[in-house]
Amino acid sequence: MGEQHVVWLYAVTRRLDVARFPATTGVAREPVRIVEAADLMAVVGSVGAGEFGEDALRRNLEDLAWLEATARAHDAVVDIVNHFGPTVPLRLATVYHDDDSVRASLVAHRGEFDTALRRVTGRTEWGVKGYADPDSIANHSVEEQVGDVGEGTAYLLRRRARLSALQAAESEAAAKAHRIHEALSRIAVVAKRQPVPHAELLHKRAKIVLNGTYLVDNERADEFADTVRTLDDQHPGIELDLTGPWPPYSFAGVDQMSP
Amino acid sequence: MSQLPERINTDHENVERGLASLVLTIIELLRQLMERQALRRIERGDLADEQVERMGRTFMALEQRMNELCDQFGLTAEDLDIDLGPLGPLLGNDFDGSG
Amino acid sequence: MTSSRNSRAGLPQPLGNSGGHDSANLADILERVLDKGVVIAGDIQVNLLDIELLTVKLRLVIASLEAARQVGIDWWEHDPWLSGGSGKRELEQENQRLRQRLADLDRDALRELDEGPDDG
Repeated sequence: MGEQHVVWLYAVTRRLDVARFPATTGVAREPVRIVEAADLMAVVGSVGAGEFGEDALRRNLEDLAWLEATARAHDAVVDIVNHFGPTVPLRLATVYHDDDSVRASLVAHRGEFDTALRRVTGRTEWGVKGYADPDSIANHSVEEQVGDVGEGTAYLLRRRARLSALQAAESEAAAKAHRIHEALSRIAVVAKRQPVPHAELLHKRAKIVLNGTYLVDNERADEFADTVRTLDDQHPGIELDLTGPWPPYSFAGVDQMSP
Repeated sequence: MSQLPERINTDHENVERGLASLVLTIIELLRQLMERQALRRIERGDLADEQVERMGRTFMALEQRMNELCDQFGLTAEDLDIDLGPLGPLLGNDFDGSG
Repeated sequence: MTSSRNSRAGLPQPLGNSGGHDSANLADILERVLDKGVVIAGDIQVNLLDIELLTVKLRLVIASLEAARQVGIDWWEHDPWLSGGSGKRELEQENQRLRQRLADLDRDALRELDEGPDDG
């Protein structure tokens, strides 16, 4: 008897041109395939229960290297599906016992998938991060006029000057981030500010002041990218980082309904 | 019977260094809070010059001592911090170890 | 400005080169595939919030802050020195409030610093 398999769900879409869909492998290097039900197509892969079963998943998800490889592979499949049409990405580690269970789930959640697919049709998710340039703090530093005072007093006055400079720089960066988000929100269909990701996962040590994600009509994608560039120029001291196009991870959830 | 998870590092020096950085982080946080409190008192102008001078010297000495302790444990300013997620770092770039 | 992932300006295209996201930052991917994406119950229930790595490394501090906030310990949100980004007026108000709240602590702290009973 061979290894037990479970079914990993990547994404749900309505129609996939199967003839044009390239041979793709997923999180276990398994060939990705389609399961159909309720006028929906689920993109799935059969993966070994030894690595992706309940206990194994619990263990493996704590291994950052495994998590990274799996997250990237999951995202890669979702991304390819997304190139073929409106796609609802599933969260990592949505796993079923077999194809029948997947079909049952498609039927059970048909309404939600329909709503989500409608919302993301013709739209793309973009991410914009804003990093505050630490040097901008220097611009706020004012040499405190230290008169004829003792060294303890001089020390406190220097500290006070430094703290006010920091405070001013942070306020300014926050205000700029707010303005940038407002401007981008006017172009986006839906816009969200997200919590700042964990610093250990970031390559930059600069302070993040904006972590925005935006669902943008495809006709306005160029305008959106241009606006990011313009805002970047208009706000010295803030470096903007545009990522995308992303599958609509942040906007496909039914709980995230927004007018 | 379950085994100890591998990721718990029981290396003695690492544990000591980790504890030292945690304790020093908290001391540094308190130093900063007290310093800010002191600066507010100064701004309010209800402290005599002599009091301000004495406070300043106390904080200077405290900072110097902190730097010495950091050196002793091989810690840098960056080690003395806790990431508060969306709130940013606990101490941030305020503590630069040089005053 | 920098841009990453498939940095071609414009629309998602059918398969330029597959998997063009190797350049994408791990944080960008994780925050999407873990926090976002449609959540439906699979047969295999793995609550991502229970995963220790995520909980400890990514969420513990946030979670404990949430817990603290729930019991009303939320001074870091209101102290402009700590949270940053507050207006001048808020700073004044906050100073006012903190002065009152910390008056006792203040007195004690200064007494220590003064190394004497005279606290003004």
